[in-house]
Amino acid sequence: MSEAVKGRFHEPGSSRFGAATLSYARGVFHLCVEADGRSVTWGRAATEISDPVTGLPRRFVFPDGSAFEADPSPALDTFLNALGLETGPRWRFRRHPRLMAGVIAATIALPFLLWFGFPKAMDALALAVPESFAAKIGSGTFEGLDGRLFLPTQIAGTRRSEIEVLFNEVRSAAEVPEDRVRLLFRAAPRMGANGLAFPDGTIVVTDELVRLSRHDDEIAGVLAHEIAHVTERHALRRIFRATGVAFLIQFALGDTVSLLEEAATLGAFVLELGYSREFELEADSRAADILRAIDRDPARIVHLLRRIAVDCGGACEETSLLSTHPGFEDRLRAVEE
Amino acid sequence: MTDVGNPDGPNGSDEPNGGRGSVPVSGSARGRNESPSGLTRHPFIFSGSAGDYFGICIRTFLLAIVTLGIYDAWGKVERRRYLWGHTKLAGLGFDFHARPINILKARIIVVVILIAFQIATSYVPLLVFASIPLLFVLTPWLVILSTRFNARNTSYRNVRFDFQGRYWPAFHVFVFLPILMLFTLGLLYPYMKIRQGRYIAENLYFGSAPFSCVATTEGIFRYWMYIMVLGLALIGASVMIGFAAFQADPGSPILDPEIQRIVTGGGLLVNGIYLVLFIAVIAFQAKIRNAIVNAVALRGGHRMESTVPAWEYLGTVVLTSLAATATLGLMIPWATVTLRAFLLKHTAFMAKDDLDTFAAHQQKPGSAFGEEFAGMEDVGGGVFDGLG
Repeated sequence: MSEAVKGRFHEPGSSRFGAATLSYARGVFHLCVEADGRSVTWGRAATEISDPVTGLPRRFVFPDGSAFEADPSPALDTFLNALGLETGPRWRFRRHPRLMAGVIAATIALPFLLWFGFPKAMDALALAVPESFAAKIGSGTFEGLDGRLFLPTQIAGTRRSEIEVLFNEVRSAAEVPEDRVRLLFRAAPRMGANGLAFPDGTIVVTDELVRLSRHDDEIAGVLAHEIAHVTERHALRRIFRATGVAFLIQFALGDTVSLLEEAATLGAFVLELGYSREFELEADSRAADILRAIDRDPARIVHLLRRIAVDCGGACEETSLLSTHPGFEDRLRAVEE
Repeated sequence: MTDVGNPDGPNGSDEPNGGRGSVPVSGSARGRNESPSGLTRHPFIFSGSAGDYFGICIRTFLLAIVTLGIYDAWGKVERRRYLWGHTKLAGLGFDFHARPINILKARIIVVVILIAFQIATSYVPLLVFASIPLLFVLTPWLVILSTRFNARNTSYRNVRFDFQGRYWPAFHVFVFLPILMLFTLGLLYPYMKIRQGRYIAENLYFGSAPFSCVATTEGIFRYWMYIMVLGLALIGASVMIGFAAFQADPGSPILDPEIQRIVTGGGLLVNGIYLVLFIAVIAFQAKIRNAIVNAVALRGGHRMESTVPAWEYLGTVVLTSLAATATLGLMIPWATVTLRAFLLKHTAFMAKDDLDTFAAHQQKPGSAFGEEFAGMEDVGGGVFDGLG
């Protein structure tokens, strides 16, 4: 029989309470109410004992709804330890040693998982969604920009048909069905020389880019690059990764800390910039494969990029192919490999 | 970290283990005052400390991150148990009984619904428009579920609270009045807040004893009128500088220095008024809380008292928000504890006789779904908390 612990007894079904003592022997609690000397016994298994919270009493809730409460004290800890219950600030480690060891291991592994595993998981998810869904996401993006950022093309019809032939050549080399991608020509004076791929398969080549090119292989390079964006589902993967990060943050932090959430969202944005570079490099190497398959020179696109850098100057520094497709030096390497 | 535990509080030394059937003689003489009306004044006391709460928050936060949010259900219960357990009335704390596993299940359901809705909207974009009326329809229901969940899982002296609110009255105060308030340019704001507070209080039970609330906007409405006048001044000043700027030739890149001076001065004026308005609205919250809580009664002749000083409240809110923001959220636990201790210090329960005669009332613990959905979508959350 353990030493009795002092506390309060809360009567069932009422706000009434009074001083009482609780003792324990062989699986049975003995409760002694001071005021009338009443003695009650309850089985250990039927009694619910609350988890510790800093500075708060422990509750023993009995099946009839009555409860015994004892304020924290060394005597209570001794009493609980005799019951085989954990006390003290690290009670969780004592109660679930293996689980807590797992949590610590997970804490250490988490950054690596997030950095390497998470993008892979999101990519798998993005590649697994059906084609119809993939094409639907962001289907209005191009229409939203057309007429504002993009103006009608000034390129002569004959030149356009030449490029369309080139486009079909690249498209069949990339094994992309005809209805998955479409090529459009647009003047984009505010953007400069650039090629863009939209998630629904619309590929836009700006007049400025066509005018700057000196060789078909250059344009084929740009087209292959943009087609690679579509086939590799880069837009969808980006959306999945970004919303996935936002979702994780929302779920992990729950109702806790909204400011940390802001900070984490900012972090996600930085991460996102890294992703975009990764996707550009991937599109470059895929484009190089396509061009090689049709006996064109993948390195020629580098000449075009250099020409854009010279031609453009400050005017389209923010929006040209150079800036929306980061890492000039890295790309040079990717193309040459 | 400041220790905000009340030094007069019953911190273990004066255990309320008094005799059966009598009010435990707890704490200092200030703790129990016979008022002329024959009511005994029991002030609320917060006995927790910012340091302890900070420890709990950091631990639950880290565990939540590592377990991809799963642990946060347990963390939430622990944080609530700490805050409510250290909220003491007549020497005894409140308790929070929600089971973390139920909160986790509710969260999973909410997340699944939100994902399903996201996917549905990408197939049928028009659904986005349907979500607004849907939210109107759901809001009262979520408020009821959330308040009921919190009430039924909160106890004092082994007696649980309960909430029995109905849908249409909730629709009136949480959907109709806010819309009406917008159309009256905010004129109805105090009326709306009072009616919302009344709705919660009037449907709240302690065991089987119902609360009532007879709050009106009487006495606080004129403060709102001052705020409205300030708001009109803000609109007027903005229109005037807008007009002055328009008068300047829009084509010329350099404005007439005279006009530029007016625009700069006007801009300062507008910012100044805006700041005063912002401050006044925060201070007004204290007036609303006092008006609601002071009108609350509990069957048996008990009453509530709230004497939150508006300016001190303003100071506390500004200080705690600035501290929380400046430390990127690190001081949120301190801010929570400080604000709670401040509000409780100015809240009291006026007991008719002793507190032993309340009968418990059997009920189910309620669903965590409303609470979790409201929490994630920021709908009418924390109403129960606000009542202290």
